[in-house]
Amino acid sequence: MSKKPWIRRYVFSTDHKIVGLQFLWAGLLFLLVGGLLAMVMRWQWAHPGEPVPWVGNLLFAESNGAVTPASYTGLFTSHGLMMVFFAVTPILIGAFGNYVIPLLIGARDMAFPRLNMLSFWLTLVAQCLALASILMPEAPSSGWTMYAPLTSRLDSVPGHGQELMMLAIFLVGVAGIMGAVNYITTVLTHRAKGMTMMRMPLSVWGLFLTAILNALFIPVLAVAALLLLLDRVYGTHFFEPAVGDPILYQHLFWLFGHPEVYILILPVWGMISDLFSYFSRKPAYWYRGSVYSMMAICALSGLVYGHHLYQTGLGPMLGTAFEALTLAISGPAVILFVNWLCTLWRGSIRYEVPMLFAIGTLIVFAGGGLTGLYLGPITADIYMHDTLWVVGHFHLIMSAATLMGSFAAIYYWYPKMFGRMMNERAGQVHFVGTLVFAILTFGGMLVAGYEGQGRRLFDPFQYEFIVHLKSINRQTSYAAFGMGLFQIIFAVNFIGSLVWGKRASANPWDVPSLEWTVSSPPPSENFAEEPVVHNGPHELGNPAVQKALGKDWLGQDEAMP
Amino acid sequence: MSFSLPTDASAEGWRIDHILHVTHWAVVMLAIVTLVWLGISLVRDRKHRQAVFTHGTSRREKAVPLALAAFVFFCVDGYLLLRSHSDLNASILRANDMLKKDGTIRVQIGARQWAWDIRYPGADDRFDTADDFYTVSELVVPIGRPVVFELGSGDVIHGFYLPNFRIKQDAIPGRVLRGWFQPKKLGSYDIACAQHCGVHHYQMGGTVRVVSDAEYRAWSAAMSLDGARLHAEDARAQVEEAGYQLVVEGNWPEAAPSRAWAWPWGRSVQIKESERTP
Repeated sequence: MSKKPWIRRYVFSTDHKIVGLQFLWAGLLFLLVGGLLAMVMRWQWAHPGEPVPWVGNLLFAESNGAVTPASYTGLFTSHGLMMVFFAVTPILIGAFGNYVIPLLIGARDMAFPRLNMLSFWLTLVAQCLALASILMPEAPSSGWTMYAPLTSRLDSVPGHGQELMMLAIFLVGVAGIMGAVNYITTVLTHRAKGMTMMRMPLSVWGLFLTAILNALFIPVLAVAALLLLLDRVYGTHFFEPAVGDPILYQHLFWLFGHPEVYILILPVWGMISDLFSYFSRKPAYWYRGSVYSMMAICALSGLVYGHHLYQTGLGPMLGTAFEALTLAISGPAVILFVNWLCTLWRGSIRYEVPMLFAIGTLIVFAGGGLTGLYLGPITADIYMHDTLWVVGHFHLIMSAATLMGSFAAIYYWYPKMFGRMMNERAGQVHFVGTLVFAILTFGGMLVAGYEGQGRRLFDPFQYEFIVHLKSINRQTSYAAFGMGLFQIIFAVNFIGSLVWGKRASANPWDVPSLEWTVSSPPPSENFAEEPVVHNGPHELGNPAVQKALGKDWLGQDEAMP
Repeated sequence: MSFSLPTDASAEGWRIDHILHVTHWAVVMLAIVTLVWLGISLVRDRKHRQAVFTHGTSRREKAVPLALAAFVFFCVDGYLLLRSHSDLNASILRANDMLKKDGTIRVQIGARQWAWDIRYPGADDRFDTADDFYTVSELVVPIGRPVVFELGSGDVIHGFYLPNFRIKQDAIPGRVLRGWFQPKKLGSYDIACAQHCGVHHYQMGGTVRVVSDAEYRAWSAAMSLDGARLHAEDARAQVEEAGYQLVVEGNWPEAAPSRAWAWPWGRSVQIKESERTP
């Protein structure tokens, strides 16, 4: 292993840990890009038509630094696509999927290391294409949903930026399928001796189920993007009215798009399920119930997408079926959620930074779930559809919950990844700022949406019924800027701790799962010999163990005394 | 910030408001339960305390999440589903029944980048006749009478959005979709576009003017005469300009008449067989 040249070990590496870290860095970088785009966009709603401070003259020179209608459409399109495909997906699935799955199941590497490496480099190519597309004179401006025929024709959404972006999405889809195949195979075939499926940490379950959804539904997205590209570039008529059907695109897009929400949130659910157990020193409450709930949600996820099409003239029978299935998701979701609360109940809670972020995730996820109740029924959705209520709702889940979950995971696994602890006080400040400003930002969107404000409007205050919402929009924008500023603390802490962080022991959190049995950071090939697993991942607070071993936890590889 | 819905100017708007308000109650209740539960867990049990060891797998322990899930599923979801289903059947999907009623106003709305072309049938209450008349982005309707609209689009997908009437319906090229509302308050209200439709999406506004019955009659009679005059001048030119025909078929709530209406703005004008230029 050590004979490999430097470039094969650290750059074109097939080691799942290196690939995971590469995904993490790439994802965080694009999180910055997506976040900055959001800041500029929010400026326009706080101060419509006024020059953007600092960067205005650089970005919008012809308009004296103010956002123009055309650049505004570019901003919200690029923000959405950057965040969903090129930031959150690489961080949650690429980084954590790669880094932790083999370690948590006691494997030396992924099942297909080379495919894994290819998946990252393809993602990087896609990211570069996406970045190039927003730097084109005409950035993609179709909205992240890229509805036909707006996008499939050249007149409404001009420029090659759109095509580059579609190509980038296609490529990132291919990379996602590679990753998914790899994760599924690894989990099914590379588990250590004694690591039964029902002994896997819930993080692995979340990532495993996400991989299954990815394998099933990303191909649908890739096909939709390809057909759209064909319509646009080669003049085919898949989505042209009178010959094809523009609504066909929406069926394809949302058949992927709705599961995508679960693709992003399932890893978070799994991780915070584990964290609640570890940091309240108590087993996860009804482990199997959580696993079956996540499975049920996976099964339902592909059957509910029709609620995105309520206003397209969906047949009433079909609409009602989708409505019933959509509402049915709250069943398993409540079980999972109550299991978290019951895990915390009468635990011995350690307020470490990962735990703070896990609790924050639970709060914003509750907000996201509850605000979704307004969108499920067809009649309520008539009013709520395409308003900022929808935007606030999905940001609570796809932004606030996934990001706070990612932060929880980063603070938690950072010692394992880099061998150093992150600064705790900075982490606490980062947590409070992020939670408060996330709630203010997305709560402000909910308020404006409830009062009827539509989305994707360059200047919403053209409308009589929105004009009184100027102040709430401005406050929301300032909350968003606040949330952005608090991320600087994270960036400094993340990079600074690489150098100045306290050295981490092998198991700084006293946690039973397998990754903490090896040194921090783990050696290449992870385990000197294959671990043998005796217990589930949550043997904490067992009085018998305490009596025999004098500690409140039992490692997965330790035999019950 | 007031957290309230826009003025309800529609006779049937209360249905939407009602389901939103019921959802408020459910959400506030669930949020309070969650926060109190979470708060007690976090505050009461500190580090020094020994955690209670349980895997939560006994029958009684499993009953807690199951019971709460069942409560949310049957009580909250169940109510929302049945309520919305009955509202749809009792009112919202009843556009075709409204057409059979006397005094119903019929309009055809064609969305395009970035305006709403609205066609009235004129004095004879029939489309495709000489007294049809058009407005752009201004929908004038009398108070207290059902308004049935047939919605289409000439280019991309738009969203016909009347916040004060609790109406939102996508306008989709190649389809005609029907909907209805009944104004109950005089005044001017916004038409907005809900679906991103290009650079000037934000400017695709319009006005609904709810007027008295007498005022509506006077206005439509004047417009109808005007329409007939314009028609005589323009009809032939329009027909010649449009080279092909497009059969527009609706699919909701039931098929709209297949030779429904002509786009007044060009690209795909539908023409009666007898009117086609050779």
